[in-house]
Formats: sequence, structure tokens, C-alpha cells
Amino acid sequence: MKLFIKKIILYLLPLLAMSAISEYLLRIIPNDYNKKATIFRRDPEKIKALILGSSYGLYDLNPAYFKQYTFNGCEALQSLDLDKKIFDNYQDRMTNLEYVIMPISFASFFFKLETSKENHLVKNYCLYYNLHATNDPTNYFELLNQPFSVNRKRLVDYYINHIQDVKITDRGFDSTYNTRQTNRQLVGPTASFAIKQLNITDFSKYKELRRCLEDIIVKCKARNIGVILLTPPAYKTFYSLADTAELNSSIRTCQSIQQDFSNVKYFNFLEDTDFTIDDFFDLSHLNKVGAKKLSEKINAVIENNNSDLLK
Amino acid sequence: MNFISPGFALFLSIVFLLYWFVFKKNARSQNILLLVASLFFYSLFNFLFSGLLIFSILFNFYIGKLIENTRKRTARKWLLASGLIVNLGILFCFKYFNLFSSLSFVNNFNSIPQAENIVLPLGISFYTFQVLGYIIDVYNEEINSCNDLLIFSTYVAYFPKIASGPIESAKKFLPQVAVKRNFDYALATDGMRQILWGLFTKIVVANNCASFAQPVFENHDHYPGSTLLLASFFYLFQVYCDFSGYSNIAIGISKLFGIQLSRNFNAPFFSTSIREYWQKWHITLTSWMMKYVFTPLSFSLRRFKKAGTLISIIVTFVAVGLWHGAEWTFIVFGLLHGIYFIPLMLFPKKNNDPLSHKQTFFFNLARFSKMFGLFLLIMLTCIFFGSRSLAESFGFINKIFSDSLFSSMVWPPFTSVFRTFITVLFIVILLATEGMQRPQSHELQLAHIKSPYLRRTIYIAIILVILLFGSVMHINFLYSRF
Repeated sequence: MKLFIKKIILYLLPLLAMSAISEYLLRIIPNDYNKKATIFRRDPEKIKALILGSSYGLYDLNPAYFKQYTFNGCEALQSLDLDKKIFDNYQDRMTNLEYVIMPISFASFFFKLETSKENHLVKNYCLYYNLHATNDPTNYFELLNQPFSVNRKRLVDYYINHIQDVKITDRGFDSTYNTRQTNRQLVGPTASFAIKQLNITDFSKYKELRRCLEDIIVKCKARNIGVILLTPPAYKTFYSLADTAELNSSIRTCQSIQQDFSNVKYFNFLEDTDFTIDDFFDLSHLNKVGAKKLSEKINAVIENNNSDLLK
Repeated sequence: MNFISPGFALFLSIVFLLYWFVFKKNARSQNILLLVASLFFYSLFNFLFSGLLIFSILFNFYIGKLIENTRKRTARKWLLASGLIVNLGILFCFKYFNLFSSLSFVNNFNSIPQAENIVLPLGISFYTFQVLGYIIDVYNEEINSCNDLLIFSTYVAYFPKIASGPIESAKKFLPQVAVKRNFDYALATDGMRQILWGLFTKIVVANNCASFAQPVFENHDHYPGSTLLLASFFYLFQVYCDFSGYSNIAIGISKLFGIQLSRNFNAPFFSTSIREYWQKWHITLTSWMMKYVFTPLSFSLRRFKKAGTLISIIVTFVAVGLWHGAEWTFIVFGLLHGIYFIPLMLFPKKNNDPLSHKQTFFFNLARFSKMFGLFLLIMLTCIFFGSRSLAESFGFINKIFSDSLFSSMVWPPFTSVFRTFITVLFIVILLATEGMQRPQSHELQLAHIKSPYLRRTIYIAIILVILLFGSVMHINFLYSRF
């Protein structure tokens, strides 16, 4: 028995040592999440307008075009429950916050990162934002969260090839969507296929996610913070082929929330004709050019509705 | 709690240490620990279904005793019938209710609703078949009923096999837990090797195959025939490596507790006939079906001679298909396997020579072509196994046999030529290892390699391969949903 345990430990020790070192090295690799979390921790009082949401905020809204100091706290696939957790975590420290801007996509009320296929991304909120975002212990370790092959690539890329993984600006905007896609990706079978992938089949999260959004709004109202909800622009193929049930449901929910809360303004840019084919990176995301347009529009909204929203 | 999770590793370590250091006094204390650990393990999946498991344990324990203590033949028959009705009734309620309630859709195969209204208790097919086998064996006086509820509970709920088998016979399992287990170093290390091989087949082969096959099966209409053909190849290996990986891990874990479980797979792709294939694929289910379905059925149909045997085979394999789930695709899967037996029955060969352990197969073209032909037939059935509806299955097959078979591949998301090549390479390594290790009870039994350094190098190489090439994207075991 003792020999057996001794042998097991002998096999495990090098693995455990290697794991501990790798875990440490992985955690100190700079990435978008720890950069954003650092800004939240370092300069929260600077933030006057905060953008929360998923890729529709990350790529579609560039804080550089806002007059006030705006920070983009969005990440790809960041769901409303995580927006709420981030807001709860830092709201007390964002003493000068005046606006929260939240793009609400067709999926916002139906998609929760924790229960999605991409749930491995939840680890970023646990590790770098120090949020209790899940009960799954694997999400509290880099090594347990992804296959070693993926982590090995990250280690080699950063420590040997010196490849940086940070894509965001100091204000949290991701400008990697700087081109426009080919027509093939915006119309035709490839587009239809892409839209089919986006269709939601699970409506069970609606109530929970709506509550998360309303919770943010209530807290904002208590602190006289205005909330801007927006449906981001999409290319015409998208809204003509996408499942209208979920799109309409999202839009109706935003309209209803606007009626219920005086500090909320809702804007629907879905079919805004100001956005042409040159503004889109793909069917539902803007590129850098489109992001500038949308950001300027929102900035104008803030400028014009200042007194309205900050009641 | 998945076998491949840090939580399970912690759970297993704690139970292992308690078992050999704290509860080692006698069989009773060892069984108490195993039962508590098993019920805890099961309740983590669904607390309420633990109640169903406990009911199944109590009901079958007492019905077994009643059958044994009843001398009147008719009364014994009634008791057996009630045992079968209750067990199959529970299985029916949870697993087949939706299928049978939808028989009005029989003319529209596409619209058969899935069993989504009723949540399936984990491992219900596995433990129900175990207890059914137990009460039938008691009825047939093949075994005595178990007199100790603790031992019987351990038999049914034993955590390494509760989720996905192997389907253990009471005759083999009960005597093992009736006596005190002493730590056997050779058995425990053998168990660790078997776990390692199971991890390799699941994490490296099955999961990498799944990365290619799953997205294609989910959206087959967006891929050309060439991609579909490769996906069905990968899917067959995904199913095989996923389930055989699970079985190896379960058997290996059990060895750590000094309990031997039955072998479930034995290099099935080296079979040259469908009969041999089923003797090597999901062996415990096949044995169960042969004993409790095929044998009594063919005996009762013996007056019809060959036709009776054929009907028995078809019925048995449809039952095998149905065992997997309440879907038409599984029924067709079973039916096809049954049909594959027809030539064997109509044109029996006197010299049916399955590959012996010592034979080499590499240079025997006739044998290789038989194996390859069988492999293609199995691959065809796997398309039904992996599709969500019959319409999808036929669409999938149609597309494979269309012109698009010769068009260039479309790679599913997150796959690449390199990754696919690596996956194929590991499949080749897996098959070569299985081919070489056929005489052994599992693939990593390397006692015949004299050099301990070489053996250790092999173990370390496998650990490194798992770390470097393993994929955790499809970590759940396919068979845990049955």
C-alpha cells in the first residue's frame, strides 16, 4: 500500500510542480480581461460613461469618440449576469459615473455564458475580475479550464515568441475589426448559415437575465446614473433572415424597460440606414468605421439628453 | 461529477484513502463506505433520482428474497412478472414514454418528439438491466438471492459502474463484495494503467474525433459528402473511444478497491464478422441480451427453425437499439445490425475462424478486406446512431453518395488539417496498440515488456500526449445519457 502511494506521488509530483509553475506563468500573461480589470481597479473614479455588454459593445462602441471619459467594459460573449456582477463589483468606486451604455443584442436575454458552449471564458471573470461568477472550480484555474495544448500554445506564444494577446485600447475598445467582410459573408448561403448558428433555441434564461439588467438600472437610478440601451445595427441580410421571435422579444423588452424606468433611454439602430455595407465587419458587428459612426451617435445622444437622463 | 474532473479526482482520492486506511477492518465497513460514496456520487447528478435508485435497490432485494422463498411455481412466476413489470415500468416511464406516446406520428418519422419532457435518471438503463438480470437468475435458481441488503445495495449503486456500466452480473459481483478486500498492489497498479489508457482514449482520441464529428452531425446540410464521410469515420471512433475509455476508467477505478468488473470492449474493429464484432463491442450488454432476450426467444421460436432464429436476432438487436434510447434512429441502428446477421444465418460457414490472439493480420488481405468491409457497415449504422432524426440520417447518407463526395473538404470550426492528421495518427496508434495487445486484458498491460524503464517511458509518454493533445471540449461521456 505504502509503495503504491509512494509511486503515485512520484508520478504526480513532477506533474504538480509543473502545473503550479504553468498556472502562475499563465496568470501573469497580459490579456484583455486583466487589462480591463486593472483599469477598473486603478482609475474607477475617472469613468464617466461605462459601456457594458458583449461583442456588440466591444467592437461597436469606441470610447475615443465620446466627449466624456468613457470606458468600454464589454467582452465577447459577456452576458447580462456578468455585466451585473462587474457593475456591482466596481459601482461604489466609480464615483463620477454618469452613464451606463448597454448594447442589447438579439441574444442578450437568452444567452448566459456560464451555461453556453463557451463557458470556459467564465474563468476570466473569476481570475482577473475576482468575481464569484460560477461554482465550477475549474473556472478558478487557468490550467483546469483549457486543455494543456491550448495553454502550452499560450505559454510558447508569450514567453518564447513574444506574441502579445492584448487587443484592446486603454479605453477597452477592440479595434481588430478593421476591415469589411466580403460580400460572400454578408449575403448568400454563408450568411444564412452564420445566421442559423446565431438562432436561439433556449428561452429559459429570459427572466433571470432581464432581472440582471433591471437590477443594474435600479442601482443606477438610485445614484442618478442614466442608462442608454441600444439595439446595435445589423446588415440587412441579418434582420431579414434572423429569427424574428428573439429579435422582437429583445426590442419589446427594451421598450418596456424604457417605459418602466425614467433613467433609461432606448434606441433601436437595427435597421438604421446610415450604416452601409462598408460599416460592417460581419452580419451583425460593425468594423472600426461603423463603430466611429455609432459612437458619435451615442455621444450626441448623451450630449443632447443630458438633463433628461440625469433626473 | 464527471470521471474526468478535478472534483472526481478529489472524491476518488478521499474514498480510496478512507477505504484502505479507515474502513479496512472488514467487508461490512468497506461496503458501508462504498455505498455512502456511491449514493453521494449519484446524488450529485440529481438528488431526487437517488430516491429512485434506493427504491430500485429495496424493491429488487425483497422481490429476489420472495422469489427464492416461494415454492409454488405459479406464485414464483407472478413474483417474477411483477419484478419485471415494476423495473421495466420505471424504465418505460422515464425513457420510452414519449416514444410510445408518439406512435401516432409513425407515418411522419421527422416529427417524433424527443424524450425531453421527462428527465432521464443517470444510468437507469444500466442499473435496471443489472437488477433485472439478478431477479431472473434468482428465479431460474442460477444464483441464491442476496441476504445482505448492504451487499446488494453496493452491487447496484457501486459508483464506478453506476453511470455507464459495465452491466455486471450478480453472480460475478456479489461474491467479491461479500468478503473483505485486501490491498493488492499488482491489481491497484494495473488499475492505474487501465485508467491511464481510458484517459488517453477518451481525452485524446474520442474528444478530438468529437471536435470534427459533432459540428458536422449538427449541421450536416452545410458540408459536402467528403466531409460527411470523414465525420462518420470520426464519429464511429468517437463513440468507441468514448465508451471504451469510460469502461477502462471504471474498471481501473474498481481495481483500486479490489473489485474486478467485466471487460466491455475487446478490439472490436479487428472482427471479421458481425457476430465476432458483437462479442467484442459492449460485451456486457451483448451478453445480457443474449442470455435474457435472444436465448429464451429463440428457444420459444425453435419450431420455426432458421426463421425463428432470424426473428430472435432481429428482435434482440432492435432491443439493443431501443436500450440506447427512445428514438427511431436507435431502432434503425439496432435493426441494421440485426439485418447484418442474415447472411451469417443463411450461409453459415463451418470454418468460422475469428482472429486468434497469435495470428498476425497485417499481411492477410482476405482478412483485412473482411474487417474493412465490416467497418464500413458499422460506420453506416453509426450515422443513424449520431443523427437526431431519421430524416437527418437519410439526408446525411444521401449526401455522402452524391457528387459532393469528390469535392474538396469543408473544415468544421476549430479544426484544421494538422489537428485532423494528429487525430488520425492517434487512431492508428490506438488500433496498432489494440492489435498488439489483444492477448492482454487491457491495452496497457505491459508485463511482457521486461525493461521497467521502457514501461515507465511509455506511461510518461501517454501522460504527455494527454496533456499536449487532449481536448476537453466534449468532456461528457456519450453513454452517460443512456
